[in-house]
Amino acid sequence: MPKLLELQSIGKTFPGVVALDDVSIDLLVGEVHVLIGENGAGKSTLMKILSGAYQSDSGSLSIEGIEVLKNDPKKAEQLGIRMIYQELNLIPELSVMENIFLGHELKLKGQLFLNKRSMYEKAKEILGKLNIPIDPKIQVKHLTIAARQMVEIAKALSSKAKILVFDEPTSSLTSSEIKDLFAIITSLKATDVGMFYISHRLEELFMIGDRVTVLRDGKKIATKNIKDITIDELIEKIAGREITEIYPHKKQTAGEVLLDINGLTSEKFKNITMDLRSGEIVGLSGLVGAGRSEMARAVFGIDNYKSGSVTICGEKLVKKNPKIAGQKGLSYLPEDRKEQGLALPLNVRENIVIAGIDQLFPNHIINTQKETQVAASYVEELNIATPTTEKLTRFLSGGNQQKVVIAKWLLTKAKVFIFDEPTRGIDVAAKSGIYGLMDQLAKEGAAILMISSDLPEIIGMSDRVYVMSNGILAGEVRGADITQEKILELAFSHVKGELITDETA
Amino acid sequence: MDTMPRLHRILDIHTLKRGLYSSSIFIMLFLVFGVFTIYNRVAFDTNYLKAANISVIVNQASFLMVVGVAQAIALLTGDVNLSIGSVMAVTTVLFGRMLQQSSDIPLFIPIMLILFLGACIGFLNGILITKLKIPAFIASFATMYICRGFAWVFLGKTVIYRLDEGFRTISMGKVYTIGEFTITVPMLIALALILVVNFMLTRSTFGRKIYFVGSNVVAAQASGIPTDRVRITNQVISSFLAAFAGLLYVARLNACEPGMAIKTHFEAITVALLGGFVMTGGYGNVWGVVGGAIIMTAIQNGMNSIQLPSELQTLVMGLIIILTVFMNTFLLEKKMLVADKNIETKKAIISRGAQI
Repeated sequence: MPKLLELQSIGKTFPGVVALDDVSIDLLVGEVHVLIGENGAGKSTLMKILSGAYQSDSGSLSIEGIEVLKNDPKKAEQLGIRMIYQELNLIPELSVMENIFLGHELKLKGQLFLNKRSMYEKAKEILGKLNIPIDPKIQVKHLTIAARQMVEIAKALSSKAKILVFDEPTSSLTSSEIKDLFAIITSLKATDVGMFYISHRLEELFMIGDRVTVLRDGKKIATKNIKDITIDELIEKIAGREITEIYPHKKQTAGEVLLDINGLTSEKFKNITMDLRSGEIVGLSGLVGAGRSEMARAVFGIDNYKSGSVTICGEKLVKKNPKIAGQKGLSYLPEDRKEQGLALPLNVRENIVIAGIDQLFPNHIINTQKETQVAASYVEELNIATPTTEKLTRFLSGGNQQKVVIAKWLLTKAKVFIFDEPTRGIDVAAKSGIYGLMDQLAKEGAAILMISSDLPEIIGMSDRVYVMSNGILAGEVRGADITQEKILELAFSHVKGELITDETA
Repeated sequence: MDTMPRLHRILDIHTLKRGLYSSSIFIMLFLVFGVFTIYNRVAFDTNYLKAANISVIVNQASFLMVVGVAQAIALLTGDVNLSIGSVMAVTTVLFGRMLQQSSDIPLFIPIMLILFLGACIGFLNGILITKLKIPAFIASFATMYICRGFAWVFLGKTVIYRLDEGFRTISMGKVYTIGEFTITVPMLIALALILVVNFMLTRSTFGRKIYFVGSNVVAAQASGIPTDRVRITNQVISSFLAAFAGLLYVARLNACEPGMAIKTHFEAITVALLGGFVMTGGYGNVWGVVGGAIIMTAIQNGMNSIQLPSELQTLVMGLIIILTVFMNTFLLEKKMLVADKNIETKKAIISRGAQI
């Protein structure tokens, strides 16, 4: 098969993070090339470079042997590169054919009016070729997610597409819909396009893929023919790596139970039962979308839950009341600091004080001097790099922003900390600072639940690890069992099942 | 991941405190008074800046300050209160009715009752916004019609004239005259209100929560702030102040009528925007309302003084709003960066001082 695309030694650095390091990958005509790796391994970055959304720092991109010098979204489109995203890009109010020809409508002579008839016929022809039984005149809003995905594919093919990129296309499809999608992909293999396919679902890869490339930490680990690899080998390649010594947490004997979650159930997660003890750091692992953050939000009282209970230090918490949760010693550090953790237009002092403001000033009047002193003491204690407490948090670096969020909860004398992705987007040096703080908190008797998609972090920091998969607590691993293979196996356990059952995510 | 910083992200109350922001409102004041002074001097040879005229402007502006504060508080949490004018109408219509029915009841009873009614309407707005999740713009838009409708139902086309003279001092009373400048009761009421609200916003824990909710409601939730309660309370205060403003307005008019204050909610938004508040919330200093109200009154007063036709006056107001909001937003990002540099250099100077 001829080579359609070649990406050579691609490198890409974001401030503080090497996203891609010398990655080479190629695509043949008529093949499905699967990209796999943990979150943050560099799959999306690589595809964004292909589609022109990002510019690579080094390396080259050539299509059919001709090097593409400056790639940008428009050029990528001219070259026939089409992305089919998880979040669909169709306009619900328009018809299928209008969506298919959006941006390159067929016009009547004189270029003023749309040629609806030829658009209809052309759309029908494309849909027919793909074996998609959809009327081109129906509005997209009446279609199921699966049907919309198929329209996306038809849209991509309506203008001369050479390379299709599927980004987690099956994440919200039922098993029969997945079969239909795979039939279409298989039929495309017989044409002159090549396809990249990104998915977390390992089984799918064996059903649809020709070759697989594993990425990890921005590096290419291996490219193999699907025929030549087993699922276990694949898991090992995705996970396998050494853990460097940046994790200070020494396992210690756990004390009394501080947080007890019993049978917590909502639409996003089912029957979660776990406990946290004084002095321990418990990891909560799982794939994105497994329901970890949703569970944490419900525990803290931001979102509601259907049944189950949350008990902190022996006291049962009422539903949907973060204020009480905070007063009882629970704290929640959201996954997205900028969007959920901080008020960026406000300064360090105002952000540090906010959660404990009622405890600090029980008569409701703010004593500015005391406030500044308290804030300054935490700036010093946590070593937050800011000249004064008056600096706006939007001007702080990611690591220091995270420290401000931690300071906020130290002030409330919280006993239980739920950290949601505590080090995402933070550089390595700042990471170890955060780890040090977490270890310090555990030593002082706090209980920590650390939600993380970063496996080395989970393994390096946790005394034990809970793993969630598709809204279900898939298992708990302790001691010597805390290995990447074991965690990944649990993380994928209920995702696999979903292919067979007819439940949607 | 970083999207374009949203409007309120650009803004910070402390830069404002340091007077960086305030400069833009002073520039506006200076411009407005400058233009009218020169025009009056050249065209009519009159002194626009004479104390008597300033006194009239500040007195009129005092009424706008009260509704401006009512609106500014609603804006702070990222909400809005379009029902201000209608709340003024429905409460004062009831007030007039009560006075008409029994002339011998002590005045403070109907006053308390209608202030309470105002607060209740605010509570309703708050429930609609937070519990039924109707956007504030639409919720208060609906209650605007409901309140206006009730006002018409209660009083039909009649107007209640001649209110109690003692009561009218809240709008008409004069306290002290310095030269040609008269200090009036409305000025003192507005001043007192601004002081109280300013204290609430800057020194109370509740005020801090308001700004936090307005800056980032998700982060506020994740910090254990009962965001719904804060927003409801805010709406209660806003409509309570609207009812209070209604009393001031009818005392000035010496009449209660259902069609009063038909555009006041827009005037209130204008004053708040001129005063540096933003529709997205989390930003603004209540002293800005003082400047906003004076600018707006001075423009109206000045346009009358140069005999500008009223059609053109409306047009000019629109242009002024655009200009001011432009000054408040586009220039602020730069100002804020400068302020941040100031913090850095000040620190450097301090530490160098310590070394010496």
